Amino acid sequence: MKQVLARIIDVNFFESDYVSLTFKSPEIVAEAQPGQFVNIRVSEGPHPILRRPISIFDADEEAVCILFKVVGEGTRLLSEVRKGDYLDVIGPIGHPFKIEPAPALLVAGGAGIAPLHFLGRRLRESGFDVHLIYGVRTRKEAVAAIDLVRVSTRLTIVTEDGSLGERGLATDFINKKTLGDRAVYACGPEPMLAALQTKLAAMGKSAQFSLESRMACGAGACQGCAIATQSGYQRVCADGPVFDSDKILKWSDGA
Amino acid sequence: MADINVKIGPLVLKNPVTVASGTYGYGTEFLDFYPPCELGAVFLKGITLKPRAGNKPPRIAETPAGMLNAIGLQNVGLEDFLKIKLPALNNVPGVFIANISGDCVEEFVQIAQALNDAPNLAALEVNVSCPNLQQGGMAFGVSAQATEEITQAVRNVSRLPVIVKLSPNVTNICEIARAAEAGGADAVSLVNTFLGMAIDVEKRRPMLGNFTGGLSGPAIRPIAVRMVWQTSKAVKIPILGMGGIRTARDAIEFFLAGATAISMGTAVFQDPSAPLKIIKGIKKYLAAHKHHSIYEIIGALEA
Repeated sequence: MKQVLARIIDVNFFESDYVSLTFKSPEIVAEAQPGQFVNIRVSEGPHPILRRPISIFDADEEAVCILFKVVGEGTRLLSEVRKGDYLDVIGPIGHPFKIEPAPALLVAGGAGIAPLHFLGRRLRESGFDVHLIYGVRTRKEAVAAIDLVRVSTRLTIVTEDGSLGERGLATDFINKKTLGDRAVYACGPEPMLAALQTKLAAMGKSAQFSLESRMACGAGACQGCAIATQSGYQRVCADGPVFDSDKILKWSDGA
Repeated sequence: MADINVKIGPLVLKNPVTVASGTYGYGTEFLDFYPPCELGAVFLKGITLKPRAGNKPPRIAETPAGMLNAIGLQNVGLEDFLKIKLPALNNVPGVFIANISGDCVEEFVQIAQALNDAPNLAALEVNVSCPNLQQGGMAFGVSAQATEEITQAVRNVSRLPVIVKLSPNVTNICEIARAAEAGGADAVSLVNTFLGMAIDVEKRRPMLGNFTGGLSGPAIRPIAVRMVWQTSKAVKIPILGMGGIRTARDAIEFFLAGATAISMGTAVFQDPSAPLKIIKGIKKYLAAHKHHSIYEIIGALEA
C-alpha cells in the first residue's frame, strides 16, 4: 500500500452517471491484484473529509483504471477531475480474489463489474474459461459491456427491463448448468449478493464476494467498515474486501 | 531552528504532534507510509479487560466537515494486547501510549497494573468517556467525583505517566479537568468526540447502527479550541489538545489556546502524512515568528 500523487491520463463519461478515470502509477500497478481497491482523496479542503474507496477496473503497465458511478458528493467531486490533474491515491488495498485453478463464473451487478473486469482479464491470461454474467438495470447502464468481450469467454448481459441481452436479474441465471464445476466470484449491490449467497448455499456452493462499505481510514486501523462474519466483525478494508460468501452472516443494510 | 520538544509530565516528546487513540490502530497499520517515530507519540487503539465485539454496522457516517463514528470499542482485549499487539511493536521505534477503558474502577486498575510490565509503552491514557456500569451507565467523565476517583486509582497502581482523556459532553469541562488534576493526572487530553446523530431521510433510519455516535473532524474545531482554552485556565498540568486539526495553522490555534501537544485523527484518514506536514508547518511558523522554542507560543494568546 502506497500513497502517491498520480497524474490522470484519461477520463471518460458514460451514460447513467458512470465515469472512468485512468491514472499513472507504476507503484500501484506493480502490486495491484483483482479485488483490491484504491482510496482516493476527493477534496483539498475540510469537506468531504473522507477518501472514497474504489475498486480497480484494470491495471496495466503503468496505469490504473477505475470505473465508478456518481452516487453522492464524493464521487461527484471525483468525476470533476480532468486529464492532467493529479490525484492523491492510496493503494492497492485489501485482500484480492484467490484465483482458483478452475473455470470461472463471474457475477457482476452494476458498478460491481469493476473488480470482475480486472479478474476476468487475469483469468483469461492464465488460460481459464470465464463465463461472465453482468446484470444492470437498463441498456444505458451496461457501460462496461464493450470491454467485457476480451475478459470473458462467454458473456451474458442481463437487464431488468430487457433492453439489452436477457431480461431479469443476474442471479436468475445461476443454475446447475451455468454453475457446473466453476469457481464463483461476485461483486455488486448487497441485495444481489444476499440473493446469490442464498442461492449458492442451497446448492451447497460458496463464492468469493468483493464487498463495499463506508470507510474511514482504509488502512485497517479504525474498525469503521465492519461486516458481521462467522469470525465476528471483520474489516472490509483490511480483512476483505474479498470474503467467502458462506462466512458472511449479515448484510450492513439488514438485507 | 526552534526547539519543538515538549514535556507531558515526565514524558519528553521529540515533537508535539501525536495521533489520537482509535484512529491509528495498534501502531502497525500505517507502517507503509512512514515510521511512527517521526510522530511525537502514537496513542494506541483503546483496550478493555476482555475483547469487545463492537457495535452493529454501519459504524461511520460522513457529516459536514467531519464524521460520526460508533465503533463500540471493538478491541482485542488486554490479553491479546499484551501477547500480540505490543510485541508487534518490538522493532518499531516510536513513543507508544496505551489507551484504557473499563466498566468499573476495578477494571481500569487491573489493566493499569497489567501494563506496568508491558514492553514498548511510554504512558497510559485513561478514557473516562466510557459508561460506568455500576452507576447506571453514565459516563465516568461527566462526573468530577468519578473522574477523580478513577484517575487516583490508576495513578496509585501505574508506573507510567497518566493522561486522562476528557469527554467534551459535559456542562463544565474545567471542573472535570481539575478533578483529573486532583486525582494525580500527569496531563489531560481533550476533546474526545461530541455525541451526535445523523439520519437518512429517505430510509428514515439512523445513519449509524448504534443510532448515535461521536462527531469528529474540522466541524468541531472551534468548540475544541474553546474547551482547551478554558481548561488551560483551570489546571496547571499539560494539555494535549485535539479536535478537527488538519493543518499547522489549526495546530497553532491549540498551542495558543494553551495546549502543550496536539493529536490528530480524522485528518489522518484524509491524509496519512498530514501529521508530518504539520510538524514542518509548526517549525516554519516558529521560525517566521523568531521563536526559539514551541513553549513561547503555548498559551500565548493575547487578550
